[in-house]
Amino acid sequence: MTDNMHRLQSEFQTFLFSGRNEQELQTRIAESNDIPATARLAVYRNAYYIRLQEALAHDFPTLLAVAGDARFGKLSARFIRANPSRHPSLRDFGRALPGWLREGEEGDLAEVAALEWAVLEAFDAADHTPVAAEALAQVPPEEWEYLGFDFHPSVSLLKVSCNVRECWSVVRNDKGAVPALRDTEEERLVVWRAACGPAVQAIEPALFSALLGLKDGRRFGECCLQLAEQTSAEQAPAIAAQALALACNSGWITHIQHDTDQT
Amino acid sequence: MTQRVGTGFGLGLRPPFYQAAAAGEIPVDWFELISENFMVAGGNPLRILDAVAERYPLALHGVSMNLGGTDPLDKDYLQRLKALVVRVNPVRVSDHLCWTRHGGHHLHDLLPLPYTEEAVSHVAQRIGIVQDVLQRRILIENVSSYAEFSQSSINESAFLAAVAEAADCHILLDVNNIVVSAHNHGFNAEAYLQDIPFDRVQQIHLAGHTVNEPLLIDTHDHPIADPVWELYRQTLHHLGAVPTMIERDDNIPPLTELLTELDEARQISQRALAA
Repeated sequence: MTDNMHRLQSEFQTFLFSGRNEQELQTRIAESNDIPATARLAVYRNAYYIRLQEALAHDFPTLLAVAGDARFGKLSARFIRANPSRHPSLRDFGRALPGWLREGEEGDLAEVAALEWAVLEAFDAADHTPVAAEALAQVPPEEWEYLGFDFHPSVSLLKVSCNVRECWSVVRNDKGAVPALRDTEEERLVVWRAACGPAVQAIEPALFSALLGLKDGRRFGECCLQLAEQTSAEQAPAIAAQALALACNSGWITHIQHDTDQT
Repeated sequence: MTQRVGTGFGLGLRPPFYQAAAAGEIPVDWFELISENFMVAGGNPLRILDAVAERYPLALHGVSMNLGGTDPLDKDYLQRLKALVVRVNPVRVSDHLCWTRHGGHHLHDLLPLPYTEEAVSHVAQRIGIVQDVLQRRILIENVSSYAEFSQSSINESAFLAAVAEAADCHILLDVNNIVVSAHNHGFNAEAYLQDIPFDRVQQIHLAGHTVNEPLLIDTHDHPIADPVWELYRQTLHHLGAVPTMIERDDNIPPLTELLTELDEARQISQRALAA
């Protein structure tokens, strides 16, 4: 019943994506006002790319600053061609960008995009009330082994191997020219939504490992065993407890699962 | 006289105005917001939304409903819109008479439809589905266009009227879009109004456009142009009092400048009603 509309929209979309069927589509355009069909269609094709490029520039300002206008323009155009939007809102268009960069020719920029996407996700993640830091103190010591933890939806854990946090901070706080991207010692980052907005904090590797395990759903005892392989059986519980205290004090934990929750 | 809810003069709620709007400090009668901008899980956008909704009537205006598309309507999108409707109890819910998605891909633009009987029937049926989901009438907006299709059998205004009648929905008449499309396609903007079923018009959009010879482009980044003001005057002679708002999406000036433009709209409306 809508065959004609379907065919027309397919042709129009092909034109927006690639422009390769322009001559064929031109024959579908009504003549009026002595304005050539090519000028009419160009408005739509240009707007398509400009709108998506602007959305990426808006959501990845550090990536834009680090890459520079020319490189950002080329990589965003390639990304747009390779990843047509599958979301009703432009807010979600850049979701695939960090992974696309990691797997492609622009891998050096992937960590920048990953950090910026984590920040964006933190900005409008679901609202959950963190547990009070004291809640942990009320759990009897013999129950700790079986405790699990729900993290606030805004929390992301990232490992980076270049000065991404420095670049992000310069751009975020409008502190002038962004430094060049350079390799650094591996840094472990927590991204979350603090009271004043998205925040990024570097933490010790051992604490990061503990948080990663807990966030992945491991019980406290399992997390200690895993940490013991990286540190020692003596150090592991203290490190895990320190990580947990940091998480609770920072508002990253929204629910403590007791052993009885497992059923 | 046609019953219209939430008459008065509003602005599009845009990020530079979020804090002032949330504090109730902006002297407007209502705000229109872009529905998709608030289809998020939480955080500051929803805090702003709730605060603004406490202080002003809101209209929800969508850009991705894809009423004219041939992809199935996005049920998840409609449920998220419905949740937003429940959350803010808007005075109006609107989207565009166009297509925005095909083959699962969103184009993020308001793309033109052929003005055919096939399209009237197809779009009207989809509006019916949306209205059933939302349990309310929606408004459909005429879009600016830069191309029309040779297969069209009626003109744009007749198409808009036919869809609204067939779907039994309301109309959001964008006066700037009429001016832009009239220029681009060489039709008479005043004649356009003659086709409009005025009792279905529940809201008016005003906006600025860019002159990019030989075309006008609907950019929402300039003050409202004189031909748009003039057509607004003529529209109000037909319509009487209609909720009117200004869309400004780019090159956003200080709020006082937009409020001055809104005052102009208010004065035009008062003069039209007094005449």
